[in-house]
Amino acid sequence: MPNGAEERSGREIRLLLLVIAIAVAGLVVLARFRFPAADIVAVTPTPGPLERLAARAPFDELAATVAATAERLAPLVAVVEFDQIPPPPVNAKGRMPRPNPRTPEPQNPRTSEPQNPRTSSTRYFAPALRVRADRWLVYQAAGTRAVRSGSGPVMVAAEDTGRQLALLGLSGRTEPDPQLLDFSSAVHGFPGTSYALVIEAAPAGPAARPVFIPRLDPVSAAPWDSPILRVGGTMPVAAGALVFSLDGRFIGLTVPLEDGVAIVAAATLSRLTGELAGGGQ
Amino acid sequence: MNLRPHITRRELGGPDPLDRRIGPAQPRSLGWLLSLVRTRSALGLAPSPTPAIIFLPLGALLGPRALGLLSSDILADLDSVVTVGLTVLGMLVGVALGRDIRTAPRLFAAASLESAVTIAAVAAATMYFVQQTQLPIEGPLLVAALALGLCASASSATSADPDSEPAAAIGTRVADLDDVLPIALASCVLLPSATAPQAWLLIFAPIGVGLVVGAIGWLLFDRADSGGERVVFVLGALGLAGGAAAYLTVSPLEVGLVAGLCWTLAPGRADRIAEMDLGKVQHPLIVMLLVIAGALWVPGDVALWLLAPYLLFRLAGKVAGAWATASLADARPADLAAYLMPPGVLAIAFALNFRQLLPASTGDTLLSTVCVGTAAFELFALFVLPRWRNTPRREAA
Repeated sequence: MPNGAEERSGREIRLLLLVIAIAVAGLVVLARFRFPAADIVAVTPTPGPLERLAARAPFDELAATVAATAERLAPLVAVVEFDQIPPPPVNAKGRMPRPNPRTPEPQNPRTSEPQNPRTSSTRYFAPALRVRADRWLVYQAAGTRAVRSGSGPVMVAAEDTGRQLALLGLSGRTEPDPQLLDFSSAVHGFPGTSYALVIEAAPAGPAARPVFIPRLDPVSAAPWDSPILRVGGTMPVAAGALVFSLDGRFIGLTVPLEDGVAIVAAATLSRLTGELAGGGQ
Repeated sequence: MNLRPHITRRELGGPDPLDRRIGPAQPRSLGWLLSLVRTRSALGLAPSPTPAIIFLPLGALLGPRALGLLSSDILADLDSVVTVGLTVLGMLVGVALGRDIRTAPRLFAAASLESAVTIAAVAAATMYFVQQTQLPIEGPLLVAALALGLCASASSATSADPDSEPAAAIGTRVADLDDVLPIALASCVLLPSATAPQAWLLIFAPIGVGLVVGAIGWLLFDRADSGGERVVFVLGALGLAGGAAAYLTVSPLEVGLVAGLCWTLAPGRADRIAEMDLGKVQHPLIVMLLVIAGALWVPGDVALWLLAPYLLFRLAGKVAGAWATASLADARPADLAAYLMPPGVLAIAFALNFRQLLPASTGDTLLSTVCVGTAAFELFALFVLPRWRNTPRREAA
């Protein structure tokens, strides 16, 4: 008859084998399932402990600020693709119809100059700003039309051809509780002589970068019924770019001027958005 | 009810001065529960007056995914504090190891063997599971599996009183000593993905920095003119160790371990001085580590899936390790396994350490898995194991 020590030893070996058998069986059974998503979740790399303490160059701080603000503003911005409105068909006599003087010539938003639709590429991208749950405000160069945003079609809800603004509906962006631009927190009386965050459009998404605005001068220009802010000096920004302060408050939208670029202030855009959303044009 | 209101044995350097002044606490209605949660320890450390199952959820509640009081920016800024905290842990473990290794080399060998069995079991199971299920893991799979195995190998003392029975005393000491091997291997986990120069750095940098810090401390601590000056020297040594570890991207636990070991083995009172000064910040520091770990918890599918090999094979690894080392430790395998079950704060410390060393998504996943696994094993040890341990004795009676 085995003694107590042997009984205990036998019991412990049985216990050990039981635990190992359960573990192996459990693992083999669970390993038969496949992980549903094969993508690695994108995680911001963790900076080293000393990197947070070390002195940083001002440009690094500016880059970090722009990146953080751009990430925060990302839900407000969509990229819309525009294309030229096709020319009217040739008539029976083989001649082009006479141009309608009321229809503006197609413009390249990068140069603000009329372009030849037959020779130059008219496809371009512009950032749209979410001003309503289902409406996006965008600069629409003369003679062009919005064709798509991402893979989804675009619906033009209202447009102001004179000021080259449009309110769009984007079928691909129908979040249940979307983040909207808050015009009430926009910057009023932006003085210039400082950095601003400019969001432009790239084919793959919004592109944000810091731009130093040397000076801003209020000017009156048709068809704007309130002064717009002409940017002094050379400003390599395309018309239609969205301008924010570095802390993410909306400043305005760039539009072309004969001699450069101007910024339409947020207050003006807020009023025009209300008019467009109310009745359209 | 047999209460154990005044626990001094598990604290390095004896009881806190405050404990001595206040004296033993009076028994209360919740005394039983408090007596359980106040005894989590590792290598002689009493890491916190309350266990991980309280502070990890608290951290998750305060973290960016709940109340947001600990935002992502604050947590990023606290990364350097985590490094210093890990260095303190490593130093205290090193000091305790320096004393135990001379008195109980056999137990140290048993604990290291048990730890190696658990590391191998969890790492192998993780590799198999990830390959079979095609879990998306960033970086080399071997590195992630080894890191998870090292986190799983940590044990803390159990809820049992170390003085209650001989098995408790042995189990507690084995649980203490089995943390040394994973700390020593913490930097080496990156070896499979390292180039040759990096490999040499990973192996020798923690030892070199630890020796330098140990030498500095040995030369300075004893010669301080005042208590304030001495504290400055200790904190300076701590900052040097943590900063160098962070700069070289090696484990601060390992650097601290080597420094603490130096202070103990070298002649003089450097070990007692460091122990006394670091002991003052020990409890708040470990509570902070647990809260930060909870706040960094990222609920995700990958972390949830990794719980399968972690839970199953940590259990199997501890049982197998206890069985393999019971004869060396002169203890019953079942008792030993029971005492090795709770991972304690060092598992969280390992995970925080690997979060700094591994690719971002892998580090976050690992930490999340270890946080949940630690809480699960702590609960398991708290409520299930005491009854299971008592079963054979009742049968024998």
